[in-house]
Amino acid sequence: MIVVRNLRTCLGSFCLDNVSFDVADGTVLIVVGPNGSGKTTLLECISGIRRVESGKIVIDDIDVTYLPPERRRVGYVPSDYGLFPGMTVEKNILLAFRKSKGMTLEQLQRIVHLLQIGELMGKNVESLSSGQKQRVAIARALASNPRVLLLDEPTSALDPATKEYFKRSFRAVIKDVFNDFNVPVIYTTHDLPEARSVGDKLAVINDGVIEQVGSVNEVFENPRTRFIAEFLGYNVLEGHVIAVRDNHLFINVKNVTLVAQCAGNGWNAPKDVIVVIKPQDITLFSAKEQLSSHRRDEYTVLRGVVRNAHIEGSTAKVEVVVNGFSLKAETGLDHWERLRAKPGDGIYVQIDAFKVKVLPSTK
Amino acid sequence: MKFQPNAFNALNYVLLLLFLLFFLLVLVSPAAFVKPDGMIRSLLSDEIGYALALSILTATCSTLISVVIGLPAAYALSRFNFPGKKVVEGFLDVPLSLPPVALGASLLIFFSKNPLGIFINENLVRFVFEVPGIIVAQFVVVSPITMKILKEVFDGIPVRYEWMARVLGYSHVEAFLYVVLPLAKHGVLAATLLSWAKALGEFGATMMLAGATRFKTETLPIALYLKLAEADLEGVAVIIYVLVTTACIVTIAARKFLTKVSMT
Repeated sequence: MIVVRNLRTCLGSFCLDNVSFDVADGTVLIVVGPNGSGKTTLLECISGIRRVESGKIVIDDIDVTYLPPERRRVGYVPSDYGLFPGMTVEKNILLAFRKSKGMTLEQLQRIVHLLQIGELMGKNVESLSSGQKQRVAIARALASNPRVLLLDEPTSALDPATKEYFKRSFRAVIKDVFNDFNVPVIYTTHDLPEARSVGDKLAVINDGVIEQVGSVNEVFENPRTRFIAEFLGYNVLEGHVIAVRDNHLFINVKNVTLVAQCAGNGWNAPKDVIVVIKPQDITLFSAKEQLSSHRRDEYTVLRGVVRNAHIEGSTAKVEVVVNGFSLKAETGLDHWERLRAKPGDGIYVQIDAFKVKVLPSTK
Repeated sequence: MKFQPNAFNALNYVLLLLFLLFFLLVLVSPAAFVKPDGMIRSLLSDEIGYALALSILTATCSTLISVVIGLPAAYALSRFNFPGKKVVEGFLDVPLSLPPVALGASLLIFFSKNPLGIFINENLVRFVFEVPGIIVAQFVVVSPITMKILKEVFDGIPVRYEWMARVLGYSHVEAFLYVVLPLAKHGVLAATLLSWAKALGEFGATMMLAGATRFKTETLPIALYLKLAEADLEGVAVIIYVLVTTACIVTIAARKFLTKVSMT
């Protein structure tokens, strides 16, 4: 288990500050955030490459905060994989194995088997494809018998075809490896679908500060800040609470009233709010009659105009302009084709009240 | 870029050709004084044999000392920032532009006039007009070159490989020995070869400190000087061709190693 408490380190004007989380054995913590938010710096602090100013890093009950990297037993895979050039795959892995404490040859063979790199052992690392380098780098990190595994954007250097292979099949292999070795894994990525499928926990980092950490589902369902909602690609709208009635908030957003569910009539938060709606929670209809037969205060119906739409796999991503503001919606390709809507056409959107999240405004 | 036939390019090629022809002419001209049987006789003569053996021995010693001292020093210069680093780097450049004869004269003054130098020369190792003096003279001329090449080699090895080795469980020293040195091996070999070739041809500093005593401090360049002084042009030509051949072989080998450095 790894416990990180109030970690702080500065690099020029950038500071990683007050970072706290813990990751149990066999759990994968995904750290997401924009470029320059401090993901790599965080991993470098844990691996010992970067000096920590204050705070604590505890791995398996051992305080490693000020230990040199070689005494931490951390497996680290940087985004460029960091394989030693001019050496074979075997040499790279044996260099790690030689320093592993308590790892048997059978375990090493298991790593080689799980990561499917047996045939690559005699090859020079420069001759490997990016996907092969990724697997060798993970194998090398595991061959050092680490107490925690750190992976810095392991899929960022993959070409689109390998990335697609990773998404289709290798993700399961990675999961198997993580389960087999039962160590805490900290994994940074930009890719939200990848975060969802690989991770157990999710931390969102912005400008050196972790804005939210929780289970993957919790963070995706209940983003705690405006930044997280925007980073996850949700609709984020500024509004003003105009009425609270029967466990519902009525919020004015650019002269349109949205209904959101709330617990009780006592909405004590400020009147200025931020409304968060996931694109998947917006239902599109071509005519008003087709709308749901729920009570009127359980959903909001708005009329808008399709600005643009594009297809990604089996999903249609549609931008609808409603009363001067844009809403991103996602719907199944079948449904979108039935609607027969094209840019410039009128369309109705329905937003269920219980799917509308309301956050206090940061203004 | 392909050759484009225009006046500017033609001028460049003609000048390059003239430059090469001039050098070829200079190198070929001593051949006029050599007959095949005379050349073999000179090559097998005791004097040239002694000079060749002494040159190889002293150049090897001074190069090894330069590399052994140069490796950690160049690594420190490449990796660490410390106050006065620029001054140290500038100081290393001075021997490169200073005539070797001035360096040799300085060494002679140090070992014959400076109390510490006199103590070393009289009680530890005799350098003035002795074989160890050749090694010191070659070392002083060669070591800045060795250090500069090795620093370039270490600069070309990203520090992140050392950090990766540390994370894998290797101490700083182990990371240097097991990861940095294997990555630097081609560069180190190239630096060694180029330093050795430079040491083999060193004359000015050797002449000043070790003198030019036949069958004692007679390296190949000193032998060449002595042969020229007695107008033995055949001997001069033989020594020139020994030095040119060695330089060519070493340069080709060093270029091969340097190519491997740039590939890794």
